[in-house]
Amino acid sequence: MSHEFEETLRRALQPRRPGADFAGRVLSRLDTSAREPATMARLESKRSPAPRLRWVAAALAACVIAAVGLVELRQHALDAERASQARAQLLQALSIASDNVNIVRATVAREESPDS
Amino acid sequence: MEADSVSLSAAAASAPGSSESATGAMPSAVSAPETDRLARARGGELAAFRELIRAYQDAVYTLALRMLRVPEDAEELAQDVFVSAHRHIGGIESETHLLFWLRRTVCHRAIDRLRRRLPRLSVTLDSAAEMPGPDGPDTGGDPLLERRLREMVERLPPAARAVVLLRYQEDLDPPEIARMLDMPLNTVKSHLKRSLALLRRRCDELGLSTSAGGPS
Repeated sequence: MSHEFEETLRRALQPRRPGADFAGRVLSRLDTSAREPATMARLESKRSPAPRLRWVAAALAACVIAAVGLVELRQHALDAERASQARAQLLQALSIASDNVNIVRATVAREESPDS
Repeated sequence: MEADSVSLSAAAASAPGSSESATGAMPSAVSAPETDRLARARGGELAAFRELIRAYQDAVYTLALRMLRVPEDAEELAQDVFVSAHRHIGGIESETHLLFWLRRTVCHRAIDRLRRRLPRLSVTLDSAAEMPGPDGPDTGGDPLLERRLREMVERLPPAARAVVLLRYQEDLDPPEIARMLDMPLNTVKSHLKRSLALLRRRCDELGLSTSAGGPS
């Protein structure tokens, strides 16, 4: 009984054939899949620049940023130096003015007391 | 488990040696021209690979069809498997190894696809009798019984279905099936036992005589 059932099952599960020219369809897919990587590589090369060019562009951008930074730094140093000079000149002017005021005060004091 | 998860090395390690006889659709002895066509295919000759496809397309397509149940899906899967085989042809040692690799790959990929689409195909065994299936070739047996059996096998759970197909369609022994599906031998035997009991019980329920038309 069990053996007969298994034989019936074997007969029921006879192989089936795929559609006509199955092998041809597989081979056409092989052709396509062989072509596809090359096509994709070509498209990729058109779409994006080469890695070398990308590096050059990145280096140029870095140089520009560094140059702008140096100019800004130099400008800041010059401004600081000018401010320091202006402060020194202001202190000198105040000192001269103070001396002049002292001389005038001494003169006025002398004229107000002729006895001395 | 899609694509290259079915590794060649695993297949080679598990494949029966070339001196062993292959079973099922595979001729038992690999003759010189067959060895030659594999060598030529490895050398990039498409005509030789076409011969290999023709030799094994029925086994691969039938496994895919009975696993997936949709002819278009089966055709696509069978094509995928052969395309993949062509990509890995350099690692194929013999036609026995090739057939082992093809069967293994188609089963694993089919199970993988079925797991992804299970909700769509959650058909119970009870509905097997109502759904029409493709008729097979005339085997001299009871066509109605054989058709119902096919339909019921196609509605078994994926792993059990693969085991039953490899056993009764491809005529492989349980140890070979275990190696092919990366499954413990006891699990294979358990699947076979339970599936056969289920199929037999369903046939009895439908009043189908399993001894009608069968050989003694």
